[in-house]
Amino acid sequence: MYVIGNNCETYLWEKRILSIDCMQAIQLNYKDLYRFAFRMLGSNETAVDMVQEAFLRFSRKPPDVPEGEAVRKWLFVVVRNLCISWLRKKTKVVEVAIDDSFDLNSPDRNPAESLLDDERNRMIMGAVLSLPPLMREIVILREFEELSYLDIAEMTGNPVGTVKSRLAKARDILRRRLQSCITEVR
Amino acid sequence: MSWNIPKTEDEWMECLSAYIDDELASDDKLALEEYLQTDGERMEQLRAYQRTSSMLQTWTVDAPDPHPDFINQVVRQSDKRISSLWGFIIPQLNWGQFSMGAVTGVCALLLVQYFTPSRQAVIDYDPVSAKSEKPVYNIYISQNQADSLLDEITAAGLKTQMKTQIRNSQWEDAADTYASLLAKYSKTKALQEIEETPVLSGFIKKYVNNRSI
Repeated sequence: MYVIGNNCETYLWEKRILSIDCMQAIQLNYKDLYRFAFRMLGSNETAVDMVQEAFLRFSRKPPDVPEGEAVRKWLFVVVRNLCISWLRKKTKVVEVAIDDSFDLNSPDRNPAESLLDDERNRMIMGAVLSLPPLMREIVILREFEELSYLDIAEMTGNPVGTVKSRLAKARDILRRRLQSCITEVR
Repeated sequence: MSWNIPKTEDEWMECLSAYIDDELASDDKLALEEYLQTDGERMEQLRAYQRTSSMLQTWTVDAPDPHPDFINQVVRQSDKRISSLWGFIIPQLNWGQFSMGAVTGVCALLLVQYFTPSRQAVIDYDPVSAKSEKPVYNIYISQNQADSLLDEITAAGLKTQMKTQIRNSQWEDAADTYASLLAKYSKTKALQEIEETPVLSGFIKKYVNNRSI
């Protein structure tokens, strides 16, 4: 027999809350975390592995304040750390798994436009993946997650000055690498 | 104004990049804008960064839905953690506290069992707290009831996911979610509701049953 009450934390109460926390955390954050991991790694399969591992860690030992934005930040930090470790261990060049993420046969898109979009996506992806991982993560967190320099600094454990200079250098590299593509678009 | 014209190329890159991200102080921002009116080369550099940034943002990534088996695995994992929580709490107590807690626990258990019908949840209401903002309720239920409540919660989550997948025309994923519900939560109210909802039962008849053939 178990007792549920606001005076005593008990088996079912915590069990229920944690289960709901897990479900909600997955519902709210899974896709954003996947996009972040995919942009970091360029591989569908590895991105899924990283995101799933982060949620399993969450279910085993959630953060001290398992609520809303704190959970999101916590999960992003875990996925980020997993991606960086994976990239450090990996010795060969990251293979770009474009076919996993772009549907060339989507009925809503004009075939010519679709090919152009895919070509552009391929170029952007190649350019971003060619950046060193510590530079890449900052570009992704700024351009796609739209985090402030301070938030990026907290998440990556770097001083704001480092974030600022890495982002500026990364932008300059990307500007050069994507120059031909930008000229075409203009 | 505090803004000084950057001296090195690195300083310029940082300054223009921070301007794009709206990370410059407002005075510095105004001073830079004023300066750029007089320096066409730096202005073109800024525009090139802005074009690069806009272009990057066109990179879209389609994210898949989480697989139902994965959701189950995460929820089950959290159950395991709760079981081990008791193993964590007990070593924190000294023997006096532990004995007192154990005696109180046994007495409470006997009282609860004496007053509680075996298969029904009992809600106990504290009248003293009635006027406060957070009145106290104690709900007594069995372990089986606790487990079935958890199953209901998980099944309800999967039902919502299945609906979303059908709405997004992700037929294969929706069928997988349904298969998972059927395999693990066959006795839940959520599954019963799915079978009674015309749209969902229609999907099962047309898609899932044909697929299994």
